[in-house]
Amino acid sequence: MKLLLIEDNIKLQTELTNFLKEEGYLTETANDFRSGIEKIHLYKYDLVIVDIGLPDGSGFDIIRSLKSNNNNCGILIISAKNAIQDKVNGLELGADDYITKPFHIAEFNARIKSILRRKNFDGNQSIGFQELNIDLNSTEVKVGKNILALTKKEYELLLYLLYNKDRILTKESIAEHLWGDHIDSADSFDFIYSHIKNLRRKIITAGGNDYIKSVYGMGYKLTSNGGTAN
Amino acid sequence: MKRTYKLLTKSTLVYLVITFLVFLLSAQILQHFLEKYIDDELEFRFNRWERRITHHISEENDLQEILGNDRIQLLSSVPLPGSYPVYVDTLLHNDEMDALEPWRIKKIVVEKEQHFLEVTMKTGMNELVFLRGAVYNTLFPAFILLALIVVLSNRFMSGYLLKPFNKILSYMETYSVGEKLESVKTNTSEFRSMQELFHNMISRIEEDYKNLKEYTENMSHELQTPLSVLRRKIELLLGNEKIMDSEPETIKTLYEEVNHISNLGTSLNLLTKIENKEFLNLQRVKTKNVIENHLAKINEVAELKSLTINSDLSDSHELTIDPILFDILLTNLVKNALKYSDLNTTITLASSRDELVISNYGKSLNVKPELIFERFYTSESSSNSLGLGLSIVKKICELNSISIEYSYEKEQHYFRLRQ
Repeated sequence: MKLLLIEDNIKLQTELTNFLKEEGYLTETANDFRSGIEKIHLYKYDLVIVDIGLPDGSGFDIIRSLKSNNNNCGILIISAKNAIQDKVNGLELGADDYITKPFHIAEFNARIKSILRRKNFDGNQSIGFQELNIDLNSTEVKVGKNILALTKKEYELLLYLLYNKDRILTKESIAEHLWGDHIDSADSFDFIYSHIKNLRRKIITAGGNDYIKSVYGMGYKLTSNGGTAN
Repeated sequence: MKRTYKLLTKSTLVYLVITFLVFLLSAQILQHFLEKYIDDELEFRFNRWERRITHHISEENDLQEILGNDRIQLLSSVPLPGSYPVYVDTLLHNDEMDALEPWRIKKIVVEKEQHFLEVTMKTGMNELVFLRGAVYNTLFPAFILLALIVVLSNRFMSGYLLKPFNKILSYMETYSVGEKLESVKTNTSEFRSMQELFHNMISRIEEDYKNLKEYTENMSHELQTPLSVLRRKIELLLGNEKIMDSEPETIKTLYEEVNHISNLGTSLNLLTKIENKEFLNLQRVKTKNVIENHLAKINEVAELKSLTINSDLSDSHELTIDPILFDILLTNLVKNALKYSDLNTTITLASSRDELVISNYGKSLNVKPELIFERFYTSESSSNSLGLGLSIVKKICELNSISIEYSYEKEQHYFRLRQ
């Protein structure tokens, strides 16, 4: 899986590159508009992650260029601007998703995985963890052979956990992922707790193990090291 | 406040009072000259007769003959010096006209052979007295005519003369920061200097405003990338069990505060964008659908807090607003209602043809209701919130001429929106 990250802030670029490499992606970087355009013309990428506000050009033009070359690669916009208009423009140009700085790395990860899955580069339309398995097309969740009946939010939460296994998902990150801007994240912690509780109960009832571990009261982690009741 | 008057009314009044005084004075002077003229004329006549009579008396030798004239009488004693001549104005009957007419009588003393003779002369002054009234009779109608013309012309001219002034005023009234202020062409120097002054003032305000705006923009925008890095670093620490075991509270606080700053930046950024009028895709938004869609999304959140959301929405309620802004407006109002609702109560969204009302049950405010729209105001019970949600709501309402009213009735908070 080959990714191109076009981001002008070197520190952020390094952080994201490190993360993407850890996740096992072959990652190349570009610091500005010019080198970004150069790279997309020279090489083929599965996913291009582009910052809209580049010092010597607009990320929109990179998207245009990608699209005019009939390139089937995925496009994820990152932007410091929380401009809804930017989002609309970007998606209209053919970008696959949009993420606003500063973002949670788990969210960044989930977006990338989701784009790559939709683009079907993986060829794999299911995601599994121990005895848990989610069929991403039919949204069917199984524990072993038992089908789990989950609510929409429980499903989204589980998928988010699976995308980010062995990584702490903070409550803030979960709140943003599940409810976006509809609720102040601090107010939603109780709701997250009750969703997690239900999810655990349903998995255990279906014969699964509790893999959702509560971490320092800050968030949750899906890990095979076993969970503690909380 | 004291009653106010229009400038033109005032100046007209002052002008009329002065004119009136000038007229009165000139009338007095004219009257004075007129009286003098009358006196001179009569005196001229008397003098002529006096000469003739004096001559006649000196020529005539027989005293009795002289006294036969009924106008001449013999005085019994020597008259006091200075007591003659005597003037008397009187009315005498004119038999021909059968009317009383004004006459002047002049009595003089003539000395003849140790005798003092009193001579009475009289002359009609009917035609002269007529002149007396003429001064007032002409001047007063003239004054009234003048006053009438002044008042009327002021009334009609004021519209014309004050047109530039009123135009400048109306531009001033509709001006809002960031807009171009149109100038009014006028050759009235006062209006021109007022306008210049106003323009200078505006450009200073604009300059200040621009600086402030850039500052907020830069702050909220430039913060995001370093915050991203910072957050990423903290997230790395989160994955490090050694550190998390020894300093969980420190990391937790760091993480929470980074999030807080980040949210603050995002909200301030949004507020600035709204103020900059970056959302101008005005449409007639039929609110019912939008609200129902929104409620479907937050229904679950409400259930978790055991809240019921009631909606009584009218098909005919519409707002002229950028749909993105309406979404933000609605999100913030509903978020606010969710946040401050007591458990197990009901949030109500109701709309009629021209009103949208959102209400929820909750404790009454412990501060003045006006403050809730202020930036960074939060009630004590929830120190987590940013205190920008309702400021954003207020700003959106202001820019789209929607009036928003807050009230607290029967344990319920009401927000009423009208456009």
